[in-house]
Amino acid sequence: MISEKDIEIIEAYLRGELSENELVTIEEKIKSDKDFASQVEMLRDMSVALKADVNGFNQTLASVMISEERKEKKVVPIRKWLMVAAAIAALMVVFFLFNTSSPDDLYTAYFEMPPENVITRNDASNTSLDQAITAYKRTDYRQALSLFDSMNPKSTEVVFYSAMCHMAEGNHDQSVPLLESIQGTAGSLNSAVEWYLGLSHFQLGNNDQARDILTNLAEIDGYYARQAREFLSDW
Amino acid sequence: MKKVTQYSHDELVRGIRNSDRTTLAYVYSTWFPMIRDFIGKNAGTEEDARDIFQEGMLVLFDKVQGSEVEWKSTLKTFLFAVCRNKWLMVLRKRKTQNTVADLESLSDIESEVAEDIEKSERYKLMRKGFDQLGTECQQVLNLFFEGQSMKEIAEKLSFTPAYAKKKKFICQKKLIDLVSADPSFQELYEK
Repeated sequence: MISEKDIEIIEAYLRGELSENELVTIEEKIKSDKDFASQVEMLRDMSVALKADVNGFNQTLASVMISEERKEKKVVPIRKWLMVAAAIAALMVVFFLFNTSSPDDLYTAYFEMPPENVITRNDASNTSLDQAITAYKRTDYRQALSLFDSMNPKSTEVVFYSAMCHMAEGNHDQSVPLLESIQGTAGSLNSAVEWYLGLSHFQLGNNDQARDILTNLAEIDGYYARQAREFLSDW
Repeated sequence: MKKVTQYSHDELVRGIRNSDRTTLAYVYSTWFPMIRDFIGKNAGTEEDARDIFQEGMLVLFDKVQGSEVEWKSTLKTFLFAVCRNKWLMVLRKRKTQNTVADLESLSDIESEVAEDIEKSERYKLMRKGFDQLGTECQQVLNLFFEGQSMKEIAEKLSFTPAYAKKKKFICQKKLIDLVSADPSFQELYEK
């Protein structure tokens, strides 16, 4: 089991900050202790893997593939392990060459319903969730919403997709409180939550709130930040 | 979109590293046909080609994160070698390798990409573990790997500095435990 001290020493080693004596000691330990050697490798990988914005990359790539294929009027099936990326990529329609003239046009240009495949099925026997997903897939958002509503407790994803159903139905006054309830706690959906919250406020005519949310979102890295920047510049 | 000759090696590296949309659109439109043709000729569909292209691009994305990467080939050749290796792995899994026509033996560059593919798989495993952490852990680790000091992290998350430091250790340990418990851990870390 790794100790706090081990992590500190390994991180100093990876940063090249150990003294010569410490360096000799740690390198001997790496050679003689297989578990310790794996821990060093894991901490090295952690610093690379978590630093790079892989979600942003996957989202942009998936979105690029969709939009390039759309130019050829084809549909792109996206690999399952990129589900989240593809879902988020499909969340937005990129109309770069689109000159929007009214708020409705702007909203329409940027809003698209996400596919259902980011919903986690923790429980294989969860038939309500399966039914809700099926309804969502066939774009029966009212039915999906009623099934999502019947679920208790609701996962972050279920709340998010309930909000999406409300948005699809044009009920932005309903999507706002749902999205606000998971703001900052939605893990990989955090940026998506901000994005859709901003769009919901925009549709409600709460321009100041929409602008604040999208401006904050635009300041971070990642796909949604870029979407927000483009949206704000088109606004 | 820029023309082919307008993208230097460094511009491509930078564009891919920054997930630049225009660069990725260029890469997809000019490099994907090569992957599609190869997979099409080797028992695969266009959908297979897209999957493999996306996987290959992720390996390339991980590779360009390094600051002192020694490139022994162009990025396009690298991507092709990665995709080729990945497709070979798929065919082996599908046990249809006998149907593969004209797959040459792996050349030097391809053994080199095998290392990059494995590294990318390890990062994938790390990210999978990260996704299973709680929000607070994700926030702490995100800020830490963004290069923020423990003091800054403590301020941002309204923790005491001591708690922030403890929390960072607990989260890293949890992530190590999650990764170590994954079925692919041994194959990727304990060779």
